[in-house]
Amino acid sequence: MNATLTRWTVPCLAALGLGDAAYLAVLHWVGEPPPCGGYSGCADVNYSPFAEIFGIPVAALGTLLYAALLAIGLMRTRTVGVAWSRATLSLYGLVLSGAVFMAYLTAVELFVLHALCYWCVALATITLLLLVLLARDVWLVGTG
Amino acid sequence: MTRRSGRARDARTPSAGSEAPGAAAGRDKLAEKAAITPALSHGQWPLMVALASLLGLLVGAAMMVLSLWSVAMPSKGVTLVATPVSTVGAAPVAAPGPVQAAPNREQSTPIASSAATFLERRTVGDPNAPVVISEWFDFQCPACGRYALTREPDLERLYVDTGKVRYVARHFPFLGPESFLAAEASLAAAEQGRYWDYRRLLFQNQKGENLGAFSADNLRRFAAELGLDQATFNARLDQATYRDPVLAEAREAQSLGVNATPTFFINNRKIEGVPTVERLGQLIEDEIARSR
Repeated sequence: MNATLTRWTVPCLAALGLGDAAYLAVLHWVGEPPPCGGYSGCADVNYSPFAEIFGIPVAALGTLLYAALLAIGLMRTRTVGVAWSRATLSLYGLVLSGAVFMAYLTAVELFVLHALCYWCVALATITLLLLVLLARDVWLVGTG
Repeated sequence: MTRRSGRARDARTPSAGSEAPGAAAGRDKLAEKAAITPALSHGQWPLMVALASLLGLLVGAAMMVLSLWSVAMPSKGVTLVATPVSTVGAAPVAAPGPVQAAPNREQSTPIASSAATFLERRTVGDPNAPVVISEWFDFQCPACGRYALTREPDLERLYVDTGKVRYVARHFPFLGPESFLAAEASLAAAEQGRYWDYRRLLFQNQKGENLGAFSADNLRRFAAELGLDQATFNARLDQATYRDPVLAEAREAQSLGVNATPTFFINNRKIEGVPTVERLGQLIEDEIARSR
């Protein structure tokens, strides 16, 4: 993977994740279920008690996470050396926390709610891809 | 240090227009190396990675704990509005199907009231209203809860109270034993004229599927909160008085092709999911226009 691709893949994925999370957050506030192709899983997941943490929609927290990832990811495209390493490490830490929470939410969908929200699965996939990319970058920095 | 600076400089150098073939690929490699080269000692980096990993895991785990805590917290701000119950003549039709009642209950006893009365207790609106809406729902279905708590009040105000709609709540408990038990308990509350209050209270206390939110003890507690006659309510629940009617209703749902909740029949028009009040209003007006 060349340098340009490495640098821009992270902000591109973060932008996709931001769009997805923001869309879910807006729908949650409006009270509309996400479109799910006739399947009720998206509504079941997004109206479940797990969709909010003390009244704050989980999708809104995801929006904040992805906004931060996008901002740092874009900043990272303009840096080299130490700044690049630090930005990479920050992104890695943020994505790891998101991935842990996403894994929990996916387990809740599968084993507690017995319903899957395609939009949430897409977001979990994006998070996993970001984690793999950033873990690779962190490893490359470590091996010089 | 000099080596690193040199690489960094290479990475920043804009591309020349007259490079030899292969130079661009070489520059990319240099840029990648420059990008990933740490200006940190080799001892520092693993430590920082470990710290970032630990922080990431801790924050993720903290979010999980907060989520579980939030779900486990009891609902607050319960406001109950009594809803008048009027009459409806339709009787439920039972059809065979695989829906099973909750196991390990005492033998059920036949209900004293007729099928018509059985439905009247959870019907609101003018008996001569041009539109009849039947809502098939499960007490453990989050979408049903969302609908009942956020949209039903507006629907009632705009269309039921104005005589346009007669509204019937129908049970399709398919999400497990607690759905079934909750449906039975709601009918015990209906017997005391408090079906809608009890239904609302159950939806306000949804907590995932079959996790104990609608255990027999909790269902009795909700009845006590509403000030129902507890002896009668508990007897109905313990004797499984409404088990067979609920089972028959679930089978009726299957015979009607209900396979998701909530499902609405607006006269004979079937819609699934959580419609907006505007969308419901549009469908109601369509039915009214058609009936003229």
